[in-house]
Amino acid sequence: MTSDLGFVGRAPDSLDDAAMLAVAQRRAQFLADASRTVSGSLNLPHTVRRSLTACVPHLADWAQIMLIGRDGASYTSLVVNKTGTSSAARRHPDADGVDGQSRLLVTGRPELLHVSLEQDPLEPDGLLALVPDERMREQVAALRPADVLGLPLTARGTTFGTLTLARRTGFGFVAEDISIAEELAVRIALALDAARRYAERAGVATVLQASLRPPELPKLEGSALAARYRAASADAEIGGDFYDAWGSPDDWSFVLGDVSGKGVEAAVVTGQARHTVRGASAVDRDPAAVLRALNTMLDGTASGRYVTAVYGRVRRQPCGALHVKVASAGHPPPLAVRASGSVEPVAVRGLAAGLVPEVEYTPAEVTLSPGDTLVLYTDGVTEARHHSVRDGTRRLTELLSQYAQVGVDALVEAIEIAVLEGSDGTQRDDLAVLALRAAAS
Amino acid sequence: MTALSFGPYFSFLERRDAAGAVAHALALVDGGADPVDVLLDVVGRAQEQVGLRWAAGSWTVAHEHAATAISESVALAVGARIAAPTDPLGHVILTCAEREWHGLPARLVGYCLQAAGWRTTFLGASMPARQFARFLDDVDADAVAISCSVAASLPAARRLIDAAREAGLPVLVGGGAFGPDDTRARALGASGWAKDARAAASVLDGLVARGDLHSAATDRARHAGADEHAEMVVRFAEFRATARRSWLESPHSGPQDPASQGPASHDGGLFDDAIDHALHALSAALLTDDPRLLREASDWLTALFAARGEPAGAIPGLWLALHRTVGEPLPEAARHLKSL
Repeated sequence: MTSDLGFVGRAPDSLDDAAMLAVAQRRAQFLADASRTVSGSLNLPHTVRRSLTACVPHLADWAQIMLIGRDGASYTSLVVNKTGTSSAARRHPDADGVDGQSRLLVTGRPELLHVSLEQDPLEPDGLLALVPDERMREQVAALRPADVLGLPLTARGTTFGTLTLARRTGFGFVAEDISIAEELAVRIALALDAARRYAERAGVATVLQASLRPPELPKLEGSALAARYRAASADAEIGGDFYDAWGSPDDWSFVLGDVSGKGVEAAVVTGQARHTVRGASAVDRDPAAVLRALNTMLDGTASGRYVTAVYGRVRRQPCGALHVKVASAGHPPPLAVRASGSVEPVAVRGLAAGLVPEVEYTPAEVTLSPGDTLVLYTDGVTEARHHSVRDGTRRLTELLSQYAQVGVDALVEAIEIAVLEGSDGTQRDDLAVLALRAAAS
Repeated sequence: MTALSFGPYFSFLERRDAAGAVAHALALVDGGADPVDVLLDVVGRAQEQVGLRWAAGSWTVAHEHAATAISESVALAVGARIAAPTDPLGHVILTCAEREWHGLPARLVGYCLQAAGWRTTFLGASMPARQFARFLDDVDADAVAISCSVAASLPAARRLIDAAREAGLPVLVGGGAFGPDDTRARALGASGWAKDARAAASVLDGLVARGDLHSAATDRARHAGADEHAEMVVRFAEFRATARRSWLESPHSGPQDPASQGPASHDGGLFDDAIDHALHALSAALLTDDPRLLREASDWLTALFAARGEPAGAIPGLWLALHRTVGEPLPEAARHLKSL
């Protein structure tokens, strides 16, 4: 239970300067703390709860926030009682509660209400309008005789909800209390408005982002696949590298590539490239034909970006070996890691896609016996820090030689760790790694 | 029930037998063992042995890594036997700071918390602070738990703690790098510290029950050490290069030159790793104002060098080299190094 001195708006016991100053300081401090409390997060339900925490117990014994959403009004409350704080939340699918609060929403001015002891606890006059939810009304009724203060939540010219506070009688809302509550309501409204707008934008962004991130790898019997992907811009989590794998266990395809440039602009092109490769492979899975299609697509766009990529078609032999036919558009050569630990680059070359209109690609072939691994990577792996490409490739080769017999998940993770630890904590380029292994029978 | 032994499980890791390890662990659960006990007393204990094998030089990094990957998949399989609570106490986010690649301990703590009634989300190893803050905006969380096994991740952990506290979430921390008490946890602004995975649930319950959700400014470290820590972050590469030269070229205290023959020649990376380890320990000691981090690093490096057959004087020599490197610009660091 709130102590009698607890409410921040209380007038000083005496009217001397020191007491007045102490009260003024207490109020200023309360508003400063409360502002921090309500504005720390952009998550809407979290911000609602934080806002209620800012009101209870320092400003009121009970608080409720009503927000008008697309599907009606939602109510959340917080009450302090002998067992501490407890909350109740309920969503009204129809906007029934909004009607009761329309006065508040229309006038945008605070409303004071007294709930006497004699009133029917569950149907007190006026309270129904402010607190339509029965459980929440019970919380207020338990405080009778109580004073209830309703405040509009207004930001950027729109009133989108209400804040309702209740106190036990004897601690009713005086003018100073109301002005503090109004001040706090303004801050809460700004924080909630930011969280609402973030939620709207984030919903769209998350869906778009997910479509630009590498997809989950398929489970293909007879092949073990693992990949790692880290975008250089940690806040967007998307970048210019991409990979994909699809098909049936006996005949499947993979691609790994790198769009010139970084960030969202590059990420948009990765989406196009990935879909072009998939689409082209549905018509003709020959690696040279697929990369030609990618080149044609990029040449037709005005983005001015080019793409390096490796595409491969994998066919499983009856003995369990994987036969890989692979073509490269200006990409670092894949590395074949034999079960014995020897590592050899696959000799395959070609011009990056998107530079000139007509390009012919010459595929190479490599056979992976059970236990052998093919590792594809982008230059973010070998060009980290100040290494030369040759130096980076040598380091990668050494690492792979040690991991020849380690599971592909651990193998790609080891590459990721080596790159990030080697770059002094600041990742400068996107990185993507894809490893595929012929599973031991 | 008799205590679970990790020995049989460890032999699967030795043989790199993933399928066998999963089957063994699930058989223990099917035989009536508590999944949490299997995770902590079998998988967790075996992983401690894995670390020791590597330090002793009997396992390569790759072998250690392979074993850990097997234990990760075992943890997933055993963890799936722990029911998700239908009416959770709350939603806790588990993660590791940048430079922390040991994700398994956080995963195991997550399963302990799930068994205790929490809804859990595990974000994985080496999480950048910006990405983490964005994630907190996207999900409705009630608490955050951060695991640090290596001292190098403590500075980045502070960033995660700041992000969570600013959002008004209590932060539980734990793991070997936090040491034997809550000194470092408090210095970094965490709300609570758990000494081990089993203690995590009760500490977290206490944090949330306390309702101490006022995000009030986390006490930013303002002591002299914090300023010197910032200096170390900015000049890390320079200090590393100078310390390396000073250590490896010192005729009395340096280890054998990795370029010459001898036991060191095949493992030049060991010296670079030791310098990084010592610098990160010093940096974390400054930030947390806890010089015991230097002692821990020194003991660890001494044991490592002994196991690898490197000269005993090399580690004291390393600290001397560090003192020569940072002593002048960083008086607080010099004081810590001197009292080592």
